[in-house]
This record gives sequence, structure tokens and C-alpha cells, in this order.
Amino acid sequence: MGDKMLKVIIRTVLMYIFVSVGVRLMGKRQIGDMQPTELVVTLLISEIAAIPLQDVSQPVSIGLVAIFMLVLLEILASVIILKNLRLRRIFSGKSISIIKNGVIDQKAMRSVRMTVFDLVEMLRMQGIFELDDVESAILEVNGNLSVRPKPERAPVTPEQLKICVSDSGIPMTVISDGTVVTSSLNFLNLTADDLKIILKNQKVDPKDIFLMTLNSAGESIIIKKEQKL
Amino acid sequence: MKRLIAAAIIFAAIVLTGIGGILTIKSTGADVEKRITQIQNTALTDTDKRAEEFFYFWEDKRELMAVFVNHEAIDEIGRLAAKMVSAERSGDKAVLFESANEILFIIRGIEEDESFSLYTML
Repeated sequence: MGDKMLKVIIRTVLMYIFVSVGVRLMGKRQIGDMQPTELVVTLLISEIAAIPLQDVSQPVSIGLVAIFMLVLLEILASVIILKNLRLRRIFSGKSISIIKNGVIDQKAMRSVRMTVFDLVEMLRMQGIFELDDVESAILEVNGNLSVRPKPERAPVTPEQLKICVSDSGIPMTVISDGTVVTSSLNFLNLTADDLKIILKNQKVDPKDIFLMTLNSAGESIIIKKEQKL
Repeated sequence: MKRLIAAAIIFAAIVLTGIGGILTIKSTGADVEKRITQIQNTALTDTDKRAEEFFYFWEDKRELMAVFVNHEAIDEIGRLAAKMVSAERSGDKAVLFESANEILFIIRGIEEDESFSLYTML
């Protein structure tokens, strides 16, 4: 293996670590739904990170400084946006009502250059196939469409039916591929000994479990590992 | 608050890297200019191995300079330094002067890149 190849490998590892740290510092929102400023930073980081990898004569430090400068700007922008509503509108834009009281706002659609096909597609992604079912739809700044169905078309809730439903809490993964997930046990206010008792009652060894979920009501789901042939 | 602390740490790291880069380039650049000028001024009379000294000086500096400067420029100075050494040994003053001038040209370019001006910013 040549010197240059080794250089590329080491640089790639370094860039991977530093870009991962940078994206992590920008916050979790970065990964899922991006605001316009976050999109710009992500695009720029991906471009800048590639430069020292493609051209080994460029010092890595130049790329790292540029990447962390972008991360810094993004953190500062997000803090400013958090504190100032007006700046938030400037940086991130504002959400636009596309359907109001069941009526499509064509002017609003034109302003965001959204076609009817786009609207119908976005509604389908929300599980709505009839335009007539929608009471209001708002295009959020991250590009997602938030939809509120008409009351008469909305799914019936237990409250409307006056049915009492017990809350069993969020099912947490307590065993994953034979390994006990301590953070999940802490979330459920359980100890490893409590889990042992539950498993003893179920007559299962944790090592044989592929997945086990448990909720605060004590209800569990256990999927055993497939036996190796 | 956590994000602001992270931002402050990043800012400090960027500023330190920037200042470190400027200081390293400025001091190495000044050192190179001094040594090369000395070689040029004394080349016709001096029998000391100044070019060889410069060659080892640059070998010492190249690692640190590589953190901040394009590696092609660093390698080019190294190549010219080696050329100066062989010219010094063979007594080829023309090649010695030519290589020295080229080194000065490259190092001044590096220093100019590092300086703050509208030209380098844009």
C-alpha cells in the first residue's frame, strides 16, 4: 500500500470522527428535519470534508477549521433563533397555511411553488387520500405538511366514545440480543434484580433472548433467538 | 447552555489554530528569508555549508508547516533545498542562486496567503 493511500485512509478516519462530532454538536434536529440554515451547513460541510480527502496536498487543519466554523455559526444561529422570533422568521422562514377551513389557498400554493400533485402526494404520506377530508394543512419550514382532518372525518378517540383506557406507558427495550439495556431499566425504575425475577417467572435465560420489551405496567414481549443449526 | 459552551470551546479552538498557524508561518517565513538571504549574500565568498544547514532546518520545520500550508509548496521548498545542497557541493553558483530565489518566491507567497487582505480574503 502506498504512502498516499495510507494518508487518505488516516484522513478519512479523522474527517469521519470530526464531522460526526460536528453534526452531533449541532443537535439531534439536524438528522431528522432540517431548517434552511441547517441544510446549508450540512451541504457545505459535506463539500468541505471531501476536499482534504480528494486532494492530499491540502492540510487537514484547513478543512477542520472550516467545518468547525460552520458548526459554530450553526450553534450561534440556532441560539439566536431560539431567543428572537423575528430573526427566526428571517433565518428559517415561516409556516404557510395551504388548506384553510377545507379550502385550498391557491395563492399560498403558488407562493411556495407547490403543485396540486405535490399537495396530494404529501397528503397521501400523511395517510389522507381524499382532499375533502382535510380541515387544514400547514406547510412547515422544514418542508413537512402538517394536516388536521375535518372533525367528522377524524378517527374516533376513546374519549369521544367515553371508554376508559389504561396507560401502560412506553414499551422499552430491556434486552437486545442477549444484552440487558440498563438505561431502559432505569427509565422504568427497575433494577437488574427485578428483571431477573421477571425472567425467572417466564423461565427464560437473558442470553437466549433476541428482544425483550417491557412497559411500566409490567407487560412484556419476548422474542427468543433463533437456534443455530 | 450546553450548546453555548460547545460553541465557546469550538471558537477557542478555531482562534488558537488560526493564531498558531499565523505565528508558525510568520516565524518560519522570516527564518527562511533570513537564511536564504544569508546564502545569497555569502555564496560567492563563503565556504560554509549554509545550503546544507538550510536543508536540515527545512526538514525540521516541514512537519509543523504541513499542518497549515499546502503540502505541494512544502515539498517544492524541500526539493529546491536539496538542489541547493548539490549546487553548493559542485560549486554551481547559478543553480544555487536560482533555487534560493525560487524558495524566497514560494515562502513569500505562503506568507501573503496567510496575511489579512482583501486580495487573500476574496
